[in-house]
Amino acid sequence: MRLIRPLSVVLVLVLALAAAGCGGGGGDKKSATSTQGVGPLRVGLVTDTGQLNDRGFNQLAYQGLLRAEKILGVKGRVLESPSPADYVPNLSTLARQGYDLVVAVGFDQAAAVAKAAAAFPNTRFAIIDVSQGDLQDKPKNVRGLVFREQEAGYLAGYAAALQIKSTPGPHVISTVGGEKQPPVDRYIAGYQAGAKAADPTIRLLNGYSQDWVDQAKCKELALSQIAAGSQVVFAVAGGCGLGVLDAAKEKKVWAVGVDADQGYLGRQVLTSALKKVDQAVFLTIQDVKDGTFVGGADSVFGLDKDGVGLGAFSKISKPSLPRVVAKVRRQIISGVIKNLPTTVS
Amino acid sequence: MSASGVPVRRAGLRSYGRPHAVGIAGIVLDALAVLVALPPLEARSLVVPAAVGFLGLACGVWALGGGETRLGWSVVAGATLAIPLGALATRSDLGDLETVFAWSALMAATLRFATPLVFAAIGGMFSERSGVVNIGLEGMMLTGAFFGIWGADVTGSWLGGLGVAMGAGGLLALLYALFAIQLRVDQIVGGTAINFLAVGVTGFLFVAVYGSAGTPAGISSIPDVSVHWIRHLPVAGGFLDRTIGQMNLMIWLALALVVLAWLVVFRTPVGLRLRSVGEHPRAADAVGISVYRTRYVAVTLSGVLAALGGAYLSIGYVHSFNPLMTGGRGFIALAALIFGKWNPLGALAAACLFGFSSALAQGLHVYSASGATLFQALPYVLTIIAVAGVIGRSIPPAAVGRPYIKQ
Amino acid sequence: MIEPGGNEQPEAPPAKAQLALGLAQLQRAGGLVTPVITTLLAFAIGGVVVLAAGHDPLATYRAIFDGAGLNWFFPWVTGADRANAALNLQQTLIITTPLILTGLAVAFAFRCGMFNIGGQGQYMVGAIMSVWIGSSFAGMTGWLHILLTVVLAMLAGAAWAGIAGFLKATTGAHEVITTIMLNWIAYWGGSYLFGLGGPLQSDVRKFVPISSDVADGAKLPVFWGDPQLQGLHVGLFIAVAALVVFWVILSRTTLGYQVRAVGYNPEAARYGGISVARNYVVAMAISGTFAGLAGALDILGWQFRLSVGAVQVSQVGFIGIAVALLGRNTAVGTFFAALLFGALYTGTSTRSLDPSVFRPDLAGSLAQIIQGLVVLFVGADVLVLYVWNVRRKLRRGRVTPAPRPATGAGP
Repeated sequence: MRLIRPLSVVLVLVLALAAAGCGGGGGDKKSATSTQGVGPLRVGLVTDTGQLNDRGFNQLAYQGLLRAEKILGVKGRVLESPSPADYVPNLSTLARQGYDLVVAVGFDQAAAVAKAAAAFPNTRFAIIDVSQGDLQDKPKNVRGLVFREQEAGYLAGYAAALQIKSTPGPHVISTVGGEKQPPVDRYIAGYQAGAKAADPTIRLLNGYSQDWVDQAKCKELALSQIAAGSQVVFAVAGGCGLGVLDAAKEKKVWAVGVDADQGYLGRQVLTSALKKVDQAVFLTIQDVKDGTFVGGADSVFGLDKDGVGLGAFSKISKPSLPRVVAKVRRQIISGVIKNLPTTVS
Repeated sequence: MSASGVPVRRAGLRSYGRPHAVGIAGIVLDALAVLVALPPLEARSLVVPAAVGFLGLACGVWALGGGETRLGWSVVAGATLAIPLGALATRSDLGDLETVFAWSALMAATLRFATPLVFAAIGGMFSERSGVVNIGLEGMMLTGAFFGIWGADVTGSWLGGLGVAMGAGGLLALLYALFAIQLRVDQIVGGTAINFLAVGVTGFLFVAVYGSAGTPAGISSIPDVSVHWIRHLPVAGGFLDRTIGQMNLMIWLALALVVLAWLVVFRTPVGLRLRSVGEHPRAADAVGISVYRTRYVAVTLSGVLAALGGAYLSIGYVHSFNPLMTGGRGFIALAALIFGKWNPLGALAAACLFGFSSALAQGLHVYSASGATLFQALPYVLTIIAVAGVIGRSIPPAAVGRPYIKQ
Repeated sequence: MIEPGGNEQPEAPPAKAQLALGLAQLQRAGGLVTPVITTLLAFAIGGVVVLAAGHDPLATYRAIFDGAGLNWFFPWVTGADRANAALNLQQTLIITTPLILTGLAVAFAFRCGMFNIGGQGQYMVGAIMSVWIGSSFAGMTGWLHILLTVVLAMLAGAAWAGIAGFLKATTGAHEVITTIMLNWIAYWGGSYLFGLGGPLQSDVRKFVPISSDVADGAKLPVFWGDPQLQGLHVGLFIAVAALVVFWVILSRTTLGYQVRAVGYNPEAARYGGISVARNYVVAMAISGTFAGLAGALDILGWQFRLSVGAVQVSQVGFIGIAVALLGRNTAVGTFFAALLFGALYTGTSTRSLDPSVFRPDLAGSLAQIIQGLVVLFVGADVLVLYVWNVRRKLRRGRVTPAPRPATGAGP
């Protein structure tokens, strides 16, 4: 029958695969090929499913890598992961090719990094936004890069409250988060605490767009918050957050950018809460180059290490802001202001 | 109606008359049962929504008794939903209620959301009325979104952007028309291919032209239309001003398009020719109407309109482009079209239902942060209920989906 | 060789005539040639796109081929290259497994005349069920746990699709709308379940929107590659078995006959005594079963958990539509189409494609353009036959009657 020919092809294919499976197969511990330590340092970056142009952590990490290429002379390579199925293959490919450092972005990859680290104990790994202690079996060749976003958020909230303090009527500020998760909530919690410190009577609104990409969604949420009276909207939603900045521009209220300095997008951007992922990646690469990289622990990036910060103030903001905010910053670093909240009620 | 006032059922015809009217009244009462507890009426006693709801339930039972099965059951189901919802609203904090049910903001958001859907759905209507299924609306919308912003960037004006968007959408639709009409490719296949192509091409060009920085800020954007003078109108002036006082030009264009499309399709000879090609192409051919040419024009027009919908999103609303920014709106527009029974007014109503439930869902998070995610599914659940309960069988143009072979 | 109708060019090489006859036979025999030719056409045009982007099409396609691991089948590839190819092929087949099943889901519904765009939602529902059952009952015996999970996932997929079928059968609701809506409901349902504070969010990792992990006992065995590093799991065999089940149901059972009859002409089927409404429901349910199975195999085979991000980024169900269309809704076609799309995905991944050959950030878009072209050309029998016909005419030097096009009514 005419079915026989294609079916037989299929059967042969399957048998071949089975035969290959019996013959080859894994189980032996992988060791990186011996190109480690020869020539310039090779650093690999594996994005999460947000991919390179996410206007967020992936992009920032990439910029850190590029800077390291320029200043430290390392050779960098970026592997994008359009789907979670790419995490393990990407990480193990870099490890197998003997990369000196493999940087992974985001908690979605945590399980994959744990597996790769266990399989390639001689390769150095770093993971952004995940504590090494949270990984399965706490591998000793992984360093977690975690950030104190609440400190940046605190400064932003303080600045925001100050900016609108002299306006008549009730003072309201708001936040648009991408999704309720720890990095986002740390920003928001800090923002709210900072605002309350500058102006105890301030009213706080909060919402989550449930989307990191669709700018229309974030814009809608911001518009409804602005309609409810918000005078400063803080976008913590990656690429979607650009819709927030757009809404602020349209309604002539203030906005606060996030992660990278988004002041170039318009004068309505009061400032930006910076998460210097690029700096963190750069410093980690520098550690590897200097031989001071130590796995099995975390690097915590706060205001003290210039790991988080505040971007430039808008040209039309209050001139007194930079001075006052700098004072608050010193107080946080010195410990006068402490125990900043990290969760949103 | 027989002499005694009892409705007579004739084979094949619905019995209009009192049960039907009572059923409609029941729907109104059901809606009222919830509305009465919301701003601005804000009844706080449990009795009020319950009483109104039971009245509605009674109407539904009456309608059922009179033979109106679909309508009757819808009313009954509506009442069973409305009474608990209304009761819940009376228990809810007034401040929360007023935050969520700020009607002017809700209406404005509804119109904003519905606009791209309307453009695409009307475009799809032209195509399908001529007999060609257009699954590729999503791709054509995405094409319009990218080429719109690119065009506005390159020409320096939003008009230029719109023009480029229309051209790109039209070209893509022309390609689809070539394959669907001339080469008689299965139309579902062709439409799916168009969607893949659009994603690939816009993604490719976006990265190639704009790289990692994305589209620049400050691109010329479609202006809003101010009609603030309506605030001086009596009674609803303030409300109207807050809702439609400052709407984007494209939203007004979308509304005008609905009216225009309805007039063209149902009141002009051109529209009659279009519909005849979609219902009985062979008969239309025999009378001398060029089936191929009508279909080509209709499909190209659908691409142009869908692209306009996408261009509103990019040039008119968010002022930038990201890959996949249409997020399934083209398919929702298709659903709106089918839901609206291939009628512009119906499509508008469906698009507004969508927009309204999306806007509402966004506000509901004040009640529960984790539940807020689940509320996002509200528009889709409502649509299924509406399609199953109210609309039922949507009968497309008779010859839709079948390629025409001239003899 | 004397061909029917005479041969005006006795000096035409017999080999060419043999080839023409052979290919014509193949086409009649199962409609395989047309999809192959259209795929080649699509790649050709894709090559033009690559050229326009300033790169070498042949090198790019070679790189994609190697990146997919298909060069593993060549015995002259040895050593490190062979090991690399093996790894790539494992990943390709991991992606192919769910594509086969979501393709079958769409194909089965198509055979009943319905357009099931809901494969994504049905897949997701199956995956969610798998995560839930797979991470519960930690002490259960391995094979029992797997069996329970898979069966429940299939039922979940069947139920999800069945809703659309039921609504169509009873209220006439158009399945295009209902399945699209159900997709989104599954999307948001999943986002809710695994979000912070959601019912299925991990007990262990309390601050991340991710589910619990599947129990070790419920994980599918890996038969090729490293089990710790996402090796190829036995789900592939289950998917291939599903292909056979699909073919058996459709061509060897009464149910399949009825489904196909309703697909050809519902009115005639009803006249013949077949319950159209019942078949709508059953066909959609079976369709959803395939998609739900895909979800189960992915979760138990390599994913082992779901995060909100994973729910929202998944596209497997949608690519299944293209797979079914390319495969002409047949079992064999679905297999090769799934393999093609799986290979395209892995081959254009940034780890496989050398940046010097083609920009990695553009490679994904290129793959989508090729996918689109493939699907676009696949239905264009007319075009292919026209081209084929012209070649035969040119070879013979006179007008020949066109070969009857194959109806594509294969397995």
